[in-house]
Amino acid sequence: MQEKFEKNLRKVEEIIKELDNFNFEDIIKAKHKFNDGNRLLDECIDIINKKEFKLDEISLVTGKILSRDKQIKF
Amino acid sequence: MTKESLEKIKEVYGIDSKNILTVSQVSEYIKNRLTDDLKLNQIYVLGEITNISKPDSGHIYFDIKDKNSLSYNLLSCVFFREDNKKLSFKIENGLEVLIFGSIITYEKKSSYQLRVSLVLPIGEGAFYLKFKQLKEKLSKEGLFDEEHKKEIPLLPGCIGLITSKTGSAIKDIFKVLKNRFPNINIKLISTSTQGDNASKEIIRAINMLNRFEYIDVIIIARGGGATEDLMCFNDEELARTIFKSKIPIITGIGHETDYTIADFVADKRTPTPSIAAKIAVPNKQELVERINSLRNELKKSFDNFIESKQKEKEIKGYKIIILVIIIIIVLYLIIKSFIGH
Repeated sequence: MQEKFEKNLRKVEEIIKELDNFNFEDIIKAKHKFNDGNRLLDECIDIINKKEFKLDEISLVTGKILSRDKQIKF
Repeated sequence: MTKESLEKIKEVYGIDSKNILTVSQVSEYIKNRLTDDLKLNQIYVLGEITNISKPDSGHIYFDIKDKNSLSYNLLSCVFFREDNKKLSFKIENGLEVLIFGSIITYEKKSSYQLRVSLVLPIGEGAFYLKFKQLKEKLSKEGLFDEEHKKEIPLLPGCIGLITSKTGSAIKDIFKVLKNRFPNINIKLISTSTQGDNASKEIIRAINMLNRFEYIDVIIIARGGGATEDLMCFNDEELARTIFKSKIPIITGIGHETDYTIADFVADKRTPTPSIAAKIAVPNKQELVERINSLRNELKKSFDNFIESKQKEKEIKGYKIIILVIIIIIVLYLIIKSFIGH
């Protein structure tokens, strides 16, 4: 998940660089890349929001996740 | 002693043979007296080490003297190979120690020695010496080298947390995590963070968390305490376990001024548990801002591109018009010149 997040940000940065350097032959190709960049950023937002707070306590004795009622509450 | 010489002594000096002892008898007598004297057996002696000698035999010989004393009184000590095997630190001159042992005699040299069974370093200096020696040893092995430090991920999917669930550190960590990234996934293993079992429990916890494939980073944390309370983090086996961990480890142990061996070997040392949590997770709001900023940059770059392309097109158009005008003028001039002729 974190790899995808970082990869997406890097790709967007590359697209920005390409646009700044006029590396596209025509507007249609540039528009296509621009849409790609926006899609990648949307995915990043999804990654951040998808994660939810979850706390599991693992038993030092068994190495297994303790049942909910035995776990620490915050 | 021969019978003749004893008889001669009696005849010349008038001393009875029963009052005369041999060297062996005197040595034996002293040996027995010392062995039987409870005040010289299994005793604790406090002193400062000097004149160390470590021959190839593996035995360690040294003297101890009263610390800071100007007297020349010395007590010779012998620490036999079989007894010094378990010594957890290196004996050095100037170190103040408490020694447990018994006085024995060495008949061949007509001397007595303290046969050492146990050496305990004394005072803060002793703690520091032990710490320094272990630090030097692990440093030489390359356990602290930057090239071995694993990268801390920008956005961990899951954090492994090793701390005491009744300690102060856990509350600080949760406070920071909730403020920075409220929707985080945590796997907690509660361990002792001081005392005899602490290092073994932390080692076990690190090994357990390494079995989970989806844990991206581990935090080992403990709130502030006395130097002795943090001793468990100066354990050699713990240092080696941290080094071997496949998952990057962040330490947040004690206060800013506390440095433990675990800190040196960790992939990232932070001064407190709160800062460990801060390093482990990004600020969600900042991430959103970064994404928004990239989106703005992307739009700006795209708009610039479009604008430039349009300008390019316009310039091309102007060029064609100018060219056409030039052609018309030239044609006009040619035709005019023909008509003129």
